[in-house]
Amino acid sequence: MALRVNLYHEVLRAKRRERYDPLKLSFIGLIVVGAMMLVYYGFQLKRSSDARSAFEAQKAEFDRLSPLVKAATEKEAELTKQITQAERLTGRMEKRFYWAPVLESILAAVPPNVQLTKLSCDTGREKGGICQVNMEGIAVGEEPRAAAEEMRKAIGDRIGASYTGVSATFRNLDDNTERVKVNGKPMASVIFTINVAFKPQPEPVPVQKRIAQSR
Amino acid sequence: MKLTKDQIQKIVLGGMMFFGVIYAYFTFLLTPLTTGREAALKEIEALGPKIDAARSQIAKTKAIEAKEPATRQLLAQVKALIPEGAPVAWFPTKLADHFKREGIDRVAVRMLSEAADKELPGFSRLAWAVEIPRVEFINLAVALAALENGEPLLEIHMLEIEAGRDDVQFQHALLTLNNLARL
Repeated sequence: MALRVNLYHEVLRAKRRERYDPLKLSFIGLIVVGAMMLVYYGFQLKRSSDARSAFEAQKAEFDRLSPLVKAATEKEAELTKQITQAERLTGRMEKRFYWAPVLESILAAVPPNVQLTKLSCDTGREKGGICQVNMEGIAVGEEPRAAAEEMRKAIGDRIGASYTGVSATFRNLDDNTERVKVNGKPMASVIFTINVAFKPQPEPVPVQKRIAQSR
Repeated sequence: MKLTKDQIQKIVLGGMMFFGVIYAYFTFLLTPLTTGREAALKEIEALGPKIDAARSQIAKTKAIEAKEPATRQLLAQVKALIPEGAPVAWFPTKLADHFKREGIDRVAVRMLSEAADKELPGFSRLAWAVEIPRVEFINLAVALAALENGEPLLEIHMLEIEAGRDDVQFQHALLTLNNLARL
């Protein structure tokens, strides 16, 4: 076996030492870690940039909408005011009470042997919204009380055909001391006061009935 | 392997540099980035409902705008029903003319009150007393029907008809009515 003498062992040791130089290894590690950190930073930068872009887009949209919203709010306030006013005006006109149909009902219900001497009508807007009609008159005939009663019922029925909550009551029904001549014939008479109360607005039609009516 | 003094110094220096770089990386690079992103996300989150609200407000206004022509028309019609000027100057004449057309010549109209209508800004509510000293019931009823149908801004509140003492065929009528006028 040939004997080999390594005359370069010092050089080789130095080379090995240089290869495992801790400083060099540290630098390599630092570069690897640095590269990883750079990649991570790049990734985070991209995320932040995306978030900022999204925010900028949202802000631009909001800035674009802001003046439109302000104008829309002002316009809405103005329109709402107008619409409310129009609705109130319409309501006021539609909820008016018409006396002509009531007068027509009274006219049709008064028989020839009854004369109304006074008629007072009130919409009762300030008194709970109940319409009041007071009638003073004189009924003549062989049965003047029956004539007055008949008229009271007739008025109640006629007004009840158009309005709800109708009540027709005598406030007074007194014999008249004077006898009234009808066609030259003296007859008994009574003086009466009838009060008729009713609701000015008709009752709302129930929904089911309204649907049935519309079909 | 035994480290020399020089090597130890280098390792220590390297370690210090490494921790310095890590600190700087997190403090000066990563943290501001993260903070900025989180702030942007928070602001996006806050802006979302605001943008939705703005869009719904615009849509709501557009829906209301659709009703505008009908409203304008109604208001214009109502305004056209009310002549210009002080109501006391035109309303009694208007009413007297109406009754004259219906064959009732003698009518006295006087104003009872005038006040701004609280429910209808820009309008005033006026109360009037109308006295008709001599009228037949049927004529009066016909005239009132025409008045109620022809004047939508007017409402008769009280009505008193009394038989005449001299001539029972004729009655004495007193009306209290309300109407609207522009302020």
